[in-house]
Amino acid sequence: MANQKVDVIVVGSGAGGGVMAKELATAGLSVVVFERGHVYTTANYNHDELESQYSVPPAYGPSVYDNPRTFRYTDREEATLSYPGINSKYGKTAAAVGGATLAYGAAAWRFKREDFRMKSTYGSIPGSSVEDWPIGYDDLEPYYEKAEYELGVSGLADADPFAEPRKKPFPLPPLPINRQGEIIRDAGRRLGWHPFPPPFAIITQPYHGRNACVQCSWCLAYACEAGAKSGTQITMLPIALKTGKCEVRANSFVTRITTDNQGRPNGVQYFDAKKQGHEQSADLVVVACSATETPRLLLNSANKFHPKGLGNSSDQVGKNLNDHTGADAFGLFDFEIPHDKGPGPSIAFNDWNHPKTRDVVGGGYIYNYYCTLPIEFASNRPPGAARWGKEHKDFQRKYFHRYLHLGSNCQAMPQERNRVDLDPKVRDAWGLPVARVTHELMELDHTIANFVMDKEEQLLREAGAIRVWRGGNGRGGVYDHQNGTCRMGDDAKSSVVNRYCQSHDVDNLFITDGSVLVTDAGFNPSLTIQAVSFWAADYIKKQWSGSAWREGKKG
Amino acid sequence: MNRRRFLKSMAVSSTVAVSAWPVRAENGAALAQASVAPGCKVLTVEQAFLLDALAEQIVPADDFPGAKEAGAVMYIDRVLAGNYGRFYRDRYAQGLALFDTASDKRFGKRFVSLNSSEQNQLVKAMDSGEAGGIEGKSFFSLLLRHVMEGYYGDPQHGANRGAASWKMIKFVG
Repeated sequence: MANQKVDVIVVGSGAGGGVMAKELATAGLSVVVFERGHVYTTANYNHDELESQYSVPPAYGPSVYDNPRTFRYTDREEATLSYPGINSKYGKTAAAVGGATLAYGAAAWRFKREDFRMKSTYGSIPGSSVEDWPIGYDDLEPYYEKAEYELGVSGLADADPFAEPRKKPFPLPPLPINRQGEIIRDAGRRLGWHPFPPPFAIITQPYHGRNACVQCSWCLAYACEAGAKSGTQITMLPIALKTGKCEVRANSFVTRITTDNQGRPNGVQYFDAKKQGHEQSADLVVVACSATETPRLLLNSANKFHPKGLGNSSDQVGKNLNDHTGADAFGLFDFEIPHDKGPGPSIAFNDWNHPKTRDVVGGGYIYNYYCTLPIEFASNRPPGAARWGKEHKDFQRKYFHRYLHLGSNCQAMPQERNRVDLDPKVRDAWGLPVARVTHELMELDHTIANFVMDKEEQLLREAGAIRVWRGGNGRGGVYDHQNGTCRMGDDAKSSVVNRYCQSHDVDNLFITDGSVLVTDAGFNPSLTIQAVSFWAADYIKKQWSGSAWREGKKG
Repeated sequence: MNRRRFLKSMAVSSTVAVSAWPVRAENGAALAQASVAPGCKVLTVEQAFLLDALAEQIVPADDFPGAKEAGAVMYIDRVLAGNYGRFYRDRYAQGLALFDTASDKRFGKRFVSLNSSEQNQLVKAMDSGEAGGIEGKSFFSLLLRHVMEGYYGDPQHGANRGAASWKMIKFVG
């Protein structure tokens, strides 16, 4: 492929990269999007628990043998090898055109005001690197709205009394309530809680030429053959491509960001599907490869100008790796609860997300989970119940339709010791050092998750459950909601990018994925990642007209 | 079981648990135990018989088929022969051998020669770690996962014949 210089390179086609590509291409900039994964089409989509993003191998990449990582809980231990899907400590993020949004659960939450001001709200937390964001809810509100309208988010304005104010209603009505939702809605009301339909980037009516959700049971970890789930491969990238200014280069793995003789980024080196090396030049580089792969790319791009890694004068690249804890509770009932309408979640509660009592740090929303599938159910049993044999089979038969699963994504506290760095020994199929992930939850993370699980158990009992039990969190590990490894901040000494997601060190390098999140929230992160990406794209577009970044002119 | 009864049990799909891999009972004994089982790529005849017995303990037949009849051996063989089999092949070889070692120690017989109640007792002991230590316990978790995947998974993978388990739990997809 000939190296024709373009205005912008975007590395990664997921939540953040997809938005950036669309915004910049429609503004007239020439863009090449690099994606290490394949293009998948509806021919590759299926309803099969053994061929989902959570199976072995993950249905939408990355390819297992080519992409090892290593994992350890703390830096006092030797990291062990892990592979996608094989070792549960390997994140489940897809490597595909559309990134994780190809097969995500599409929950589309706005964070709350406190989520941007965790340190101010709760004070310093021993052991945690908790900080306020340099931006707040009011800065992002217009961009949340933009994301909701471009993706087609379904929801009901004013239904959640704890939500922050919004200027416009949701563009689409919420998913219809199912039987599970009715049961927990009524139980929640009896407890004085505030039920509402949760927002999803799933269209409930035809929207922008796409078809509405058909309410199947196969959503989280499955790509949507109806085209109702608003991954970037069906929302952002087609618009970017239509401009004629954007190319999506799939099966192309970027290994290094190159710099000119003054240390300014001027392009990337990458391998194509045949593992042939190439270069691509550009004036501006946007990195959006996930909170694990983004720091890895920056660290692998170290050179004499950037000895600790590109954009890493702060030594913060890769640190503060964070992810939600899960808080799940399960109930058995003596009456049938049909799995009547997918994707499943139809009622949520925000009563325990920054509750006014402040008897917990942060918290998380509670909702009825995605439709339960047979293998998933077979592996979930209350303590003491048989895991195999006749008793297990009878349980499966008796309770598959008398079962309710509540879920939550609970806030976890960032810690500097949790990090991504380069493994000193293990290399990937392209010969590059792999990401070494170090992650261990702190006591407070478990306390928060337990607080939310207590509430879930209370709700299940009120709903009439005859048996209730809860999930748990292991010692550590990062999954779908990884974040925090290139945090934004005003201080170049303690953060990697500024409030516009621009590197403090080199002005033509931007990062727009979960890496820039300063803290997570008790919400799924994708809508916030996308709002932040719209916000950063706006800044780039405004600055671009002065051509500050062109031809290496210092801005 | 002679061939006539074998065919009959297939035809009426009774509670008698037949194997799903194409072993013929009347000449099963003549098959070299170490050769690759008919219809399989990795598992030997001996391993396939052992897995049949284990699968039947994990999901026994009742008015719905058990994991043996539903095709557990075929599914596990596919996993072992597939692109990711290298993660599992050694663990299966060692894990299955552990069952026979433990069976021999406790009962002086191979696992497949035990009666159902003895087999159940030994599987419980493997599950708890009592019979095979951490290694046996860990292998049994893997085996359990694969048997459940096969039995409750999509029939196209070979171990949920006729979508029997989905009918049993009234899963409509």
